[in-house]
Amino acid sequence: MVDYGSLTLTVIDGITIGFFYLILFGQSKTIRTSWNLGVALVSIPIVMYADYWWFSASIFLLALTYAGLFRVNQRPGIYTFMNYVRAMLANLVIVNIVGVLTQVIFKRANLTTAAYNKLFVVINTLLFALVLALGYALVRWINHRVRPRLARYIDDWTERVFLNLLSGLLLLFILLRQMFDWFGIAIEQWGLIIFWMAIVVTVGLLLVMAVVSTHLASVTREHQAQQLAANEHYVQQLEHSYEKLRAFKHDNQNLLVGLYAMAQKNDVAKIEQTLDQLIETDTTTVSDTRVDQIHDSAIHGLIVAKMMAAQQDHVDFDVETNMVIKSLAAQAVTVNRLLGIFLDNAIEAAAESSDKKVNVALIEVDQTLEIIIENSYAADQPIELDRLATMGYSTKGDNRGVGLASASELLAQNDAIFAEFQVKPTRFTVILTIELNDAI
Amino acid sequence: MLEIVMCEDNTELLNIYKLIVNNEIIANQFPGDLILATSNPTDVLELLEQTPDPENSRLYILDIEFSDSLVKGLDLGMAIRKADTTAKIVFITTHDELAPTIFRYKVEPLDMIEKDRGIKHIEQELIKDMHLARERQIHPSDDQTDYFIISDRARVRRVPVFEIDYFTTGDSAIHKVVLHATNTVIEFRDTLKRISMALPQFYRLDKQTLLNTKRIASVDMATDRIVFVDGSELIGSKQTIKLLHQALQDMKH
Repeated sequence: MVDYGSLTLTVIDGITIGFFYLILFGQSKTIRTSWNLGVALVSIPIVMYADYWWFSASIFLLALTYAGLFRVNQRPGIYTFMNYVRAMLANLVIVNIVGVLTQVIFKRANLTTAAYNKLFVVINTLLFALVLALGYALVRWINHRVRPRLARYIDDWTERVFLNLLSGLLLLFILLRQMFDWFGIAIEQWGLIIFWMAIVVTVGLLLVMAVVSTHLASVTREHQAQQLAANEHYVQQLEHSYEKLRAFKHDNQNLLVGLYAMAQKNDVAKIEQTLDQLIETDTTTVSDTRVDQIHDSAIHGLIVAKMMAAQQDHVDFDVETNMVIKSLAAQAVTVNRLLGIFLDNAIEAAAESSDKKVNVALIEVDQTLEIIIENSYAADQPIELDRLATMGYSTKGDNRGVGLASASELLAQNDAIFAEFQVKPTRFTVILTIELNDAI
Repeated sequence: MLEIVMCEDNTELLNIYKLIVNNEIIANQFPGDLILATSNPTDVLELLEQTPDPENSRLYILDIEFSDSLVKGLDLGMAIRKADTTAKIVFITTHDELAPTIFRYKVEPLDMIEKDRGIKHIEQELIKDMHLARERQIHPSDDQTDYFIISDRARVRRVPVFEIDYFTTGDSAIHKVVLHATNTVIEFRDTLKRISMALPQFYRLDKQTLLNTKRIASVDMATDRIVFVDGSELIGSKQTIKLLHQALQDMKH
């Protein structure tokens, strides 16, 4: 006599594990390799068998399978463990919802699970698929509508830490519940469990806040130290320019006195000669960089810092702006990050070239801020535009492109900042167009 | 006939420029007409308003800073460029005011002449620019070219359609489209739907891609890659690549 009860449970279990893998593989393309798929397929019957003996074995076994046997980006799964946490969490939430729903349906229809095992399995599966679809739609909605709005106030790092910790805590909560079930702790003690979980969650949240603020504090300190150094350097340059200007003014005065004397003597030939000399005097020793016109303190600080960095690499860094650049408000964080990334790339590329030139121009017209960054680049390092636009691409080994990958992501999520790239024979240009005062 | 407009607030200099230009017209029979020489930039703006689209494109010779006016050379240049995309603009300025990058991108001037290098230099460059402007007037480079036009608050860009490889779009909540051409990538606000109506000869590969079949060099069914004539690549799904391949075969017949 086949134990239909156990058989049903085993089948449901198999379906649950299947759905877990569905969610896991659905998360990212890089997980979907044939090796991982093979490991997954082989693991299903093994985990199902283990579950027969201990109901919650799957959670741990699947964790071990993912961490140890899966290969993501050529590294063991343990490095990307959050994928597992997210998938298992989603799976458990759905399993519990579906379990409750199934029981409700069967109670309402006055059926018992024993008599209609096939029906039970079918309904369970359908509900699973339905809840999964709804869950997927919900996640997509959050990603499309809610996150872009939040992105203006919370940076990537904070968002990730918060979500990861939250997911971890929830998973822990559900795991504990399963363990208590297994040890036979009754529902009456739920109150106690919830009480302890509340404490854990509060402590967890406090931990998150502490970690985040420490991180922010250290980042701010580092940033301020850099800014201070850059500002000092800028002031030195200004003082140097001022000295040159004073010298020039002095020489000019002398020449004018001399001209007056020549005029008195009516020495026209000498006057013409002196005037010619005056016109041809090279005044390029006085810097025409108009950084003082940038009133947004963040951008001003950033440009000054990059000026110093460029000088250290012997790169000619020119900044032009014809108008007073006001403060950015809404888009400040994103613009500063993008500007930082593109300026770093420009300086790096220019340093490798023979011309060693970077031109930056800022123009504010019609509620729009345009930032143009033009740099020279080495002829033997051609730029492949299509790869530049889609992923973090760099001609110099693997990790350099990370900045550009972030830039692509930032641009993809922001509908008030537009980028344009132009490749010319000796110059590469990035043009950022930022719409100001967009109504949220 | 090349219409010439000049604006310079220093009257001595203005007279010198007038002399140079008129001398070239009369003595060397240059086919030009100095229609306006003023020290007030608002006169130029008024001229633009009254005759916004002249049959011949004009040559504008401008100073960069006008001391008695709020209008700056850059604003004037941008206003002219906006009103007349084929106008030839020459700036005469001191070295310090050059700000080459801004002027190049916002106004696209024909030339920028440095005052500091003396009258002889100005004369040489001005005459050279007059002839250059005339050349451009007789042989405009954009005769029959089909352009795709992108316009936003900041400026208007034209990209020749035959240089465009494909358009892509990302998140549907962010209404951004990216244009990929040989040496340019431009992000702008639009939808693929509207673009495919403007460019019906382009092929809609999938929900996020619109491509120029004329620029496809090869389609690799094994790796699901589309390679364009300039080397750029695009990856599609097995399904869409198959459909594309089919469509390309159909087009040949």
